[in-house]
Amino acid sequence: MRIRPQGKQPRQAEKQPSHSRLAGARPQETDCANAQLDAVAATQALTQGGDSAYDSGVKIDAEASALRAYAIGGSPPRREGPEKVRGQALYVDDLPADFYGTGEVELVHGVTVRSPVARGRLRAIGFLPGVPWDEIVVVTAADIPGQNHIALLENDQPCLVSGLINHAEEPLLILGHPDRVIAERARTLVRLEIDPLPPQLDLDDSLRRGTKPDAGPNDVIWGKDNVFKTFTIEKGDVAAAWAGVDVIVEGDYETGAQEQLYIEPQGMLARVRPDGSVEVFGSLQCPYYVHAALMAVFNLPADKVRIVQTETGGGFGGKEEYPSMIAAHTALLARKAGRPAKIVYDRLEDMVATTKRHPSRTHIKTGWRHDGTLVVQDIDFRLDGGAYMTLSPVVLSRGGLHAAGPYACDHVRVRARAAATNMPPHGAFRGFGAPQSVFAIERHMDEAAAKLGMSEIALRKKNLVRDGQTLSTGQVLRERVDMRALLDRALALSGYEAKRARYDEENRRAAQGQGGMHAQRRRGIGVATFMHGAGFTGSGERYLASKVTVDCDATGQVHVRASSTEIGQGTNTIFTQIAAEILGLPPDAITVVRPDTSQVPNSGPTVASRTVMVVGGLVARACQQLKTRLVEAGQGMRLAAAGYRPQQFRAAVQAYLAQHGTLSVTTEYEPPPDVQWDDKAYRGDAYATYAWAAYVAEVEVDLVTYETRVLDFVAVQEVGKVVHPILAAGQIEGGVAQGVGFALYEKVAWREGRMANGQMTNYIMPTSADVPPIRVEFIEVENPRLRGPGGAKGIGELPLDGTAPAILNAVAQATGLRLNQIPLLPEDLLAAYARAGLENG
Amino acid sequence: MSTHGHDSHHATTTSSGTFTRPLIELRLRVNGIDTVCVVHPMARLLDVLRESLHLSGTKEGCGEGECGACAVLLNGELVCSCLVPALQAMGTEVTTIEGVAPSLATLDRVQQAFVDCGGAQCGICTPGMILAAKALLTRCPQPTEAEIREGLAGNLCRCTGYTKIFSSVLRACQADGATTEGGER
Amino acid sequence: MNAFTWVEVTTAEQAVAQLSAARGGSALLKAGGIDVLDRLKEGLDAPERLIVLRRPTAGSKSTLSEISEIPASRLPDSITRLLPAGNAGDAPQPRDCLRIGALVTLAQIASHPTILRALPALAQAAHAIATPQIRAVATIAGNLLQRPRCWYFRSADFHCRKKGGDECFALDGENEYHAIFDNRTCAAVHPSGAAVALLVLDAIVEIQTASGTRQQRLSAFFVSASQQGGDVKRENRLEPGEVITHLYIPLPSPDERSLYLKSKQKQSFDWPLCEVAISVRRAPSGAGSLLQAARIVVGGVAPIPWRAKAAEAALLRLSKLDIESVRAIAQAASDGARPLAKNGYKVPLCQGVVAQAVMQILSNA
Repeated sequence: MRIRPQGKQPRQAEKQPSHSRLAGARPQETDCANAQLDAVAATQALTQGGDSAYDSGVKIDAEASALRAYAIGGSPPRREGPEKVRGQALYVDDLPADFYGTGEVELVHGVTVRSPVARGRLRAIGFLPGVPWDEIVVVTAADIPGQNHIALLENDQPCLVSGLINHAEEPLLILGHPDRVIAERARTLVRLEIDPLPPQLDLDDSLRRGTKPDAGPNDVIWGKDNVFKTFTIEKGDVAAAWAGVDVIVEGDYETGAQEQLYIEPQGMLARVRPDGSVEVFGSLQCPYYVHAALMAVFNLPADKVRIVQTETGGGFGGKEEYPSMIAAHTALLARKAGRPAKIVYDRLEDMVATTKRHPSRTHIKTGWRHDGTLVVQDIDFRLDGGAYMTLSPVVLSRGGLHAAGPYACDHVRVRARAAATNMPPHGAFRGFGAPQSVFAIERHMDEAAAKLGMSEIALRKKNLVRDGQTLSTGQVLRERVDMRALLDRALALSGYEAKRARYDEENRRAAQGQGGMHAQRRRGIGVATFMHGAGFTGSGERYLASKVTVDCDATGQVHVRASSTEIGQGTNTIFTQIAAEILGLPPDAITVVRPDTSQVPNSGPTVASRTVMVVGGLVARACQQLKTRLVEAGQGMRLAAAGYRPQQFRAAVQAYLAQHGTLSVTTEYEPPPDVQWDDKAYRGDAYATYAWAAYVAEVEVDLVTYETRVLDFVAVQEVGKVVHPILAAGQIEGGVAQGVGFALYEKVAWREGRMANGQMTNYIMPTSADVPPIRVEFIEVENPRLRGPGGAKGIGELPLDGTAPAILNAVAQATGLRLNQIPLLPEDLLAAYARAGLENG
Repeated sequence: MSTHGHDSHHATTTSSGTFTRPLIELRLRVNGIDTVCVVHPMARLLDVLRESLHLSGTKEGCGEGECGACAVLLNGELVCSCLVPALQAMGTEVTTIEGVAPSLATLDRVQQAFVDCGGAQCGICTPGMILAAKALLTRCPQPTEAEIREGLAGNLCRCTGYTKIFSSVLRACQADGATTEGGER
Repeated sequence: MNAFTWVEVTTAEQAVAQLSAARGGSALLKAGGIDVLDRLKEGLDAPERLIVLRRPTAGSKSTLSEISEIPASRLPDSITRLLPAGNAGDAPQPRDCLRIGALVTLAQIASHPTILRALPALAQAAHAIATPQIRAVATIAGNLLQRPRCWYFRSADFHCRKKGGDECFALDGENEYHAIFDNRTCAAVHPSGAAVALLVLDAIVEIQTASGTRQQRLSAFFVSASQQGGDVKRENRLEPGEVITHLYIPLPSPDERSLYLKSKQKQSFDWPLCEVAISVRRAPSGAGSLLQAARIVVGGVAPIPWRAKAAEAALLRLSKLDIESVRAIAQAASDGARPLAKNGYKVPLCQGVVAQAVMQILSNA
């Protein structure tokens, strides 16, 4: 590989990176400098070539231009990369106090007073001496000008408690002072008088008590039966199918709460303008969710609420719903204080108060023929939704729709329920219900294989779904699906079959005391095969009707406007790639406008692995239409020839603008006519398309310390066209690391409905020393039916689904135990050995 | 021996409930520039950098030395600035992420490698991670992957799974080799 | 955090003077500050004066931040008399020692060539603590003197015995990370990993007092409730106003070995579930047993670093290395354990790490 000397970068000297994108108001000045940096870096990337195995699909041409690097399938440097490595990217807590340019230098720092109990009635609030209370702004539910709820699916969650407390850490009031230390001290001097009520802290207990005939007020804590949502997927005739089976396999599977643990804690900055309109800047994934929530809390029309995303230090779903709460609190404080306000959580508050992955319990009963044919699946899937609905019904949908796995089975029933408890509300987390149900079915497949006396590979191969077959909802797979090829590739890359046999033998010898010094080590290798639906579930995309605008200013600069946020996954870079490819322009001619509800249309939330496939598709279509419009308006002379130069494009734009005034194209999501979904019956095309994958994990278990280490990891997937191989591999690697945490480290210690380990010392996420080598491979399948840009599908959530079951399947081989609960910490493994010892003798 | 100010440094709660926070003058050298600022004596170095000196590239991820997002070099040593009280930084030499790039026009080889290799995703751990990598490469110019894993183990990243960070650090070493050969640095 | 006066000192004498000057009020000594700042932030301590012992500047004669080898000929009598005797009944002989200043950082210890070569248990223990950033700042004395990490002790919501209350909340609470030995008064485990290693290495601690210096064996330094009449408000015999200045560690003879192992939930920066340090001296060939001296200290299982005496005795009786004997030694390591409701796993874990340590050290001895 050639290394280009560092000094020869003349163009970088022209201008230092600017940060004016944050302001949003002058987009035309914004990214030129960065783009120049990027273009140079892109050229460098091209001339240097990729050194990672994952770049192998990218043809590197030393003579290619930066334009080429930004084509779909290239790996140009992240657009905001230089700002980030210089520490110049501005996150919410970095915004200077005079950020607004209004001379209002002094901010009010807000802190949140929260409930110490899981359930109770707030009777009175007292303020003890020790701080100058006359200087402290106190915001209560009485200060809310509009609705006291955070608008989402059900509007059941208050912005500030006014009477009944439904979970620990529920926000009760906001205190503000210009000195953060004084505000913090004031928080400790608030005296709460609360009449405690008995809480419901277990999901099954809540389901049982909610539906018992003599249920009383302490039994029913939500709605009429403590059920946020329930649905049943039915295919074939499950009741009758049992008659035709030879072997029945049954098991219970459980997953725990998991904290998203983005490294930037949540935070918001807000001000209220003299006309009463509200502006909020902050760390968030979904600007229009926050927009809708604030419209309700302030009783304001859409144009009087402005939400701007600041650079966001990770989200993973954790910044999907809760930012609306913090934004409302901050704006209420700003309104009452009469000056800008800021609330930034510290780590402890962020951990204990914001949403986590829904804990789940799954019961699976399957029927098989001796030859391994899967005849019938009966699955009961339950989620703990916590105290308020938030997005639980949608999480439940995705979980239920993935619960049967990527297997062809004629008779399927999936019963899914999300229960209300008095736990803090659980919410969105990368994978959104699927990691829970995929864990269950993939562990179950290995248990079934053992019971049938077949290899777990043969059993999967026999039953993996193919194109033309149907999933549990009756969805016919019309795209090309080749799960067996993915599985074969993962097996080959990991050396699976040989290792599986060798570890069986070594573990057997070690158990007989023949392992010498290593008698306490056991090894295992495990697999998971799975799919992940791309984009919103069912008719979600149809209801959302996402919009994207692409327009040009007088200088010919192209602006891509969408509310899809850059949260580290690469939105800026990928939208640039898509626009650059279609418009045939270099990246610096394209500005991806910072999400700001006054500047961008609603392209939907940044969730569900939909940004590239759905929104990217809209960007592509808008760029195509923009080009067509130029050509049809008589600018074809300039643009007809393939490979026109940026100056020619600019001239064409200027000529168009002179004639028509503006050049702007807005595209809206058009549901594919052949995608049909029945919300009531849970029948039909649950997702427009799926990503498919086979993962292999190799582990070593130390029977002295009961530590499990992941030694090696192979992730093979088909995600359609890979738009940016480096970013895509980064998504998979990061997701696998989170999956390692989900499986082996990340355990929330609940004490009376409160998280007791809300610090990074005692809630443990994987460090650089814990992650295995992760080998990522994308297999591209020719699939003319795919609609994403260049045929791209979703990718972000996929790796969370298969990692934990692959690891637990490996641990099961290593230990010979039935391990169906995660996270599996050393003490859990030890307890499992103790139980097995009791059972065996 | 020096005592910093006795009574004048007490934050006090008076009978009328007034809570005040007096200040001291802190002198230190930051990114090669002699700096004086007036801060609360127990302010953390992190707050001094971010609030008094407006060097917001140093991030706060946990405030208790776990995540490494606030890492800076203090007299050349990698430390968590959230665990260093201002007074402890008196007279020291501090390097933050803002002092890493050789100029406004060029990036340091480690920074460049993070851009090229996908070592930064959301970017919040990146400043601390780059300083940890710098400290590692000073101590150990050609680290093995095991040494990189160990050297960065005090810096948490939730996005990348660390893999692209390892390749960024390895790339930075290679870049060093190349530029040394070319005699440019 | 409360308000306090910050006082900087660079010698132990100054520190002691400042600490005693605070009579009537309260004063707290800080070096690296890793634990002290945590405690101030959490409101566990609210001193009026914070005495900051800084690293001496270049050119100073202070040895507080130095590691040096002291030949037997120059070893002070006050240290010599505390050295372990070669054989029972013998008078202690002067030996070459390593002297470690109180302000030496864990990073210095983990990378010091003499410690890596001659005292591997200490290097391994120092290296296993926290992260590179913390080790660059945390001092050895601070590590020995840090307060327990028990979440009830650390939480402002619980007025436990360690804080002068009359209840140990862990006994009936969330006690999965608590003690299995000597845990009936207070179930917090001692947090120092370095102490575990230093104890098997027979370290001696030197302390500055108001009237001079005193020395004591580290083995008599840490105290649990049962050793001080139920008082659990402190974890050691450092009196108010005293300051640790140095540690002296006898350098081993060629037939001695040591090592340290730690079991934790992840690879980097975690408090140990259980940790063990072991040192052994081989017996001359022809002797009935393999070893003539052995010491095993287990951490993370008791309010003090826990000497596993029954296991040591079993180890000394060992005549050949086989699985059964190792298993017996490991069993002995948990003699007297009385686990609480949620930490029963620590019994086999403790046995396991001891077994592993025994096997490793004997196969390399």
